[in-house]
Amino acid sequence: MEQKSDHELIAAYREGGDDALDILVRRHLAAVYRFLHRMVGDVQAAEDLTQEAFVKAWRRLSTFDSSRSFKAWLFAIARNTAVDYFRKRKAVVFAALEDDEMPDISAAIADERPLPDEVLERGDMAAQLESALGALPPKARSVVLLHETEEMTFQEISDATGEPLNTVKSRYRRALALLRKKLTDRLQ
Amino acid sequence: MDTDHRPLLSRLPFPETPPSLYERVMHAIDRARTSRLRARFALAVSGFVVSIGAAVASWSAVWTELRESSFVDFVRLAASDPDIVFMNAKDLLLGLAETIPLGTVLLVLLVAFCGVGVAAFADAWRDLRRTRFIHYSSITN
Repeated sequence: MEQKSDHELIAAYREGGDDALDILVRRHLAAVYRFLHRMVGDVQAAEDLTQEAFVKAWRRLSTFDSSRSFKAWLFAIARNTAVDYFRKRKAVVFAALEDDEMPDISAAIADERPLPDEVLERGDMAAQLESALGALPPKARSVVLLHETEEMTFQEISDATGEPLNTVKSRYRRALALLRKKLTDRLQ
Repeated sequence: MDTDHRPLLSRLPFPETPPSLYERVMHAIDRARTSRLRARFALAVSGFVVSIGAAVASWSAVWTELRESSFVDFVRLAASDPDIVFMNAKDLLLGLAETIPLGTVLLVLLVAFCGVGVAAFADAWRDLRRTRFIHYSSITN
């Protein structure tokens, strides 16, 4: 059972195999939790949102389209759960959930070089990076995390979120440029 | 575009998954499943009760209507003189259709509804018991 693909496990669960659901949850739990933790930056909230995301996924499992990637589908649910969380908290101004609020960083977009070694070598880089990531609008942050840390392709992210491929790519580029700017500003 | 930033993002701290998170997630799913089954169960029980009540209430009226209508006479005639029935099949069938008591049709529909209600009831009950067993096992194991 452990060797089965996600789609085989879903088929097994639909036929009444409860073990298949256990394996699906175990298989994706750490990644979903990691993603949500990085999205919200809070352990307790990440745990609650992980639970919520898996319950939502279970509720919609009967309507899951087997031609799609289960991982992308699950992360789309997790991402929407995180965005809803921010909306409910109202800690983020609603409009800031959209990329329109991102500053004009067209000049920085052209610069796709890695950050200077000096920045990367700083001891508190992880904390700085996490903080800068947390300052990005949630949708932009989710695209960066899904692509960079969960290794999803832009096409998978586009399919999962229902956003056009070019929008996803543009969101990603702008988010990275903004991230670099924030980190460089902190360094100076 | 992608690879340039790998060193940057790879420096993100790797959050440890809390050990109890798996159990919490499975319990949350079990709770959602139990809640959904309870709703189905309640719906099935109310459908069953309503349909039984309606069937009982309408039974006497249906029975009276059936006895008073000529439907029974048609059936008797068909049984005793089938030749006459076949010779005048068209007229007799039309006549038969006109004499079918509406109450009887209603009763048939109610009984069918009862049947569906009972099936849903049994199905929901079986699932509920199964879920509770799984939930209980996951807590005790």
